[in-house]
Amino acid sequence: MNICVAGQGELAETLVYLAERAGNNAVLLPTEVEGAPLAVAHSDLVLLATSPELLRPLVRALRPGPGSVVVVAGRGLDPESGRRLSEIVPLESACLRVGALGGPLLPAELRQGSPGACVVASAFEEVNQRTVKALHSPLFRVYPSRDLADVELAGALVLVLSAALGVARGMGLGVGTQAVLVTRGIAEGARLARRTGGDPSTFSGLAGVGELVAASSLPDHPGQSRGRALASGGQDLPLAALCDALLSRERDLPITAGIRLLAQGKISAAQLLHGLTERQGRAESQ
Amino acid sequence: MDTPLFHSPSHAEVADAIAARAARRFAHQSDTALADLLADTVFHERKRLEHDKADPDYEALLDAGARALRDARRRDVEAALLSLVRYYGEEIHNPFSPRAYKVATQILPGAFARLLSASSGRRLVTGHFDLGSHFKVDGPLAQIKALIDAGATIVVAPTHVSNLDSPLIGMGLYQAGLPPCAYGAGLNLFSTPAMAFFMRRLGAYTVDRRKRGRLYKDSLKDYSTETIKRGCHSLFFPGGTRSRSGRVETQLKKGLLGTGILAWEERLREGKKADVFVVPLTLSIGVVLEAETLVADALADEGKQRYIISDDEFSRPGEVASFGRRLMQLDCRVHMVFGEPMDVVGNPIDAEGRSLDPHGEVLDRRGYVADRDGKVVADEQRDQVYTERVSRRLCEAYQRGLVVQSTQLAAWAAWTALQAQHPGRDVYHLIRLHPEDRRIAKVEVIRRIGDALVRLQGQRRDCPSDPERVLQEALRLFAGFHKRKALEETAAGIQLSGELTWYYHNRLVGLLREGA
Repeated sequence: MNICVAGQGELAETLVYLAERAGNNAVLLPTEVEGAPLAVAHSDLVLLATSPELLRPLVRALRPGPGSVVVVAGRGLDPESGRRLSEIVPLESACLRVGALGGPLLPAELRQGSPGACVVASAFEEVNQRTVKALHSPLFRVYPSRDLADVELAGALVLVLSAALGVARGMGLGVGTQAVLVTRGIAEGARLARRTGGDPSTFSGLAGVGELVAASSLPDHPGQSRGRALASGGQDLPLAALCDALLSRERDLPITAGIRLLAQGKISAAQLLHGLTERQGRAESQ
Repeated sequence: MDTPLFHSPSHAEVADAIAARAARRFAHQSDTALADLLADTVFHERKRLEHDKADPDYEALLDAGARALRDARRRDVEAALLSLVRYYGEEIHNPFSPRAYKVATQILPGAFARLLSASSGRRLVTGHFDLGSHFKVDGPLAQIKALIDAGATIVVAPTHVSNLDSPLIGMGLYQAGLPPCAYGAGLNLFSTPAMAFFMRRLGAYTVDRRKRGRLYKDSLKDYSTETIKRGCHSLFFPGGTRSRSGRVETQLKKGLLGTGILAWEERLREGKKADVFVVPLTLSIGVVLEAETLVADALADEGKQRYIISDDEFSRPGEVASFGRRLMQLDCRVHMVFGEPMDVVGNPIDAEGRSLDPHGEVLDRRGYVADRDGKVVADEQRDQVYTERVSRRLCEAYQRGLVVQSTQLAAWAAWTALQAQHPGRDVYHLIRLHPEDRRIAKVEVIRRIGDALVRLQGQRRDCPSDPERVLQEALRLFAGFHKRKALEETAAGIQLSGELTWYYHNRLVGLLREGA
């Protein structure tokens, strides 16, 4: 298969590496080069490895058409509309066959040859099949899923939860507190999935728990770094906007609601912690 | 306007075409899958026929199916299935009659108008009756006509509240200068001989919703695909059945809707250029003949199961005629708003029928179903996702095309006032309140109508400006229809019926609920 990876950074390079290791022709497409839309038109699969902020201009530049199959590998939600990233592709182009990758894609480990796995989700069976064929190899498994919305929302929620972990680390709190944040974060993921009509077990898979475990184990995870910065004061308005977009789907996300206030600079890290612990008790399964 | 519907094939031709489609499908299925399909049909149909009257020929086919299952030879199973498919094909199809169409379009509107205005002796004698004044057809009619003239086939997808919708749409299409459409009509609608006579000849094909087996449903889809492929304009009610609650459809059935894309793909494979487009149509009418039966069904627990209502107001011809007369006398207009046509994957199209991307650029829609070499690739699952997109676009178009009626606005105002008086109570609690507790001060209803009008005008909707007049008109219309009045003015305030108030209020839920 001819795979086209568009975007920047380690993630894009890693996707090229994985596709080649799976026996495909893969190219990293510099978006500024003329003829990018032509390369896209001749690809069996286009992987977009970019941040939510740069996704719209990237899609507009690449102009995937009716025959294209596009899978978004970035995490988060569209900052302009709060929509899921895969929804942006048909809003900015004629391409309808879209999907998203989820799960712990850790470039450094994967390029050292460590075994890994991810999930690809799409409403189109064909998109899942092509992505499995593009990336699946003896050292890297790709699990297909139809639950596109929840795979993407899980990726977005993990960004928020990893920031919460960063706050806890920044405050010098111990492993026990972090474990509570992880498990209650998983409960938030299940509630979010229930509200959106998705499958609550999706968050228990690679896209949710898998990525959260990776994020919590990596002190230099970008989400944790943002959380640590917030623990020492300041604002992070893009993170607050991400929390807003998640809360617009489900109100009962206490950690997300707390991180929003912290990222808006409305409360301190200590107040966030206090707010979470003084909440009225309820059954763990709720 | 000449259309392929005028050159309608015979029963046998249709049965052959449907059977050929089924045979192609069967060729890819395992022995077990075919046996399961036949068993499903024989089991469900024999069970149904314990209560329903059966055609002896049909019973014989089912018996032959049961024997084939016992012997379990693929050839026999397939033959039994194909015999049933042929039977279904003949039953579904009703050859269109251009002569009946001519009669219907030249004579019936006048006769219908006279019948409906029969209470006015002067108008009956003079014949001065303008049916058009009670009908308002709107939307991009010139574009739709141009597409048809250029050889496109259209699939009209309307909202559905009443069994009167089909004849009303038929008249609306004629008034708009659009050709007749083939449309599916429930078997119960053929129960009145005069109605059946014209329906059978004016494009209605028979849908027997009592037949629930997969084979029958597949045969219906095959029939629809074949019809569209032959270039017959079609009409489906994608909601599947009349809206029980009065709400505008938010969920659609994808079965028949998906036959548009199948027909288009088949045309592409055969190298035919002619396209298929989907056209939304929103019907708005101030009062609904069957409202009382429908809302009772919506509120009853068993309502979810009762797909076919054969004993409603529509089944009584006297009530239909009386309803029609009151409709005209009370100056109740029927609004039919066609939405922008779209391609079969839900993209907008330009005046020449070219599909457009979100930036308004022309795109080659063939790419959605063809590989890079241009060969059309069959993929049922892919097409289902495309059809879901079409259905979302239709639901959006329905909301845009809604023409707000005074009855709905007044019911909205009164019902939301009742909800405010009893916060947290569900619909069942509210309709069971003592009648005295279902009364709202007139001034409060008028205030809420005013608030709703401001919001609707904010949505750039064409609305009246005087809330008091809206209420008066609604009360006048409600007084002229239904055994129970949805709203009634009493000395103590505006009396709500409960169920009917909720039903009419529901039409505006998509426009006026919080966050809309």
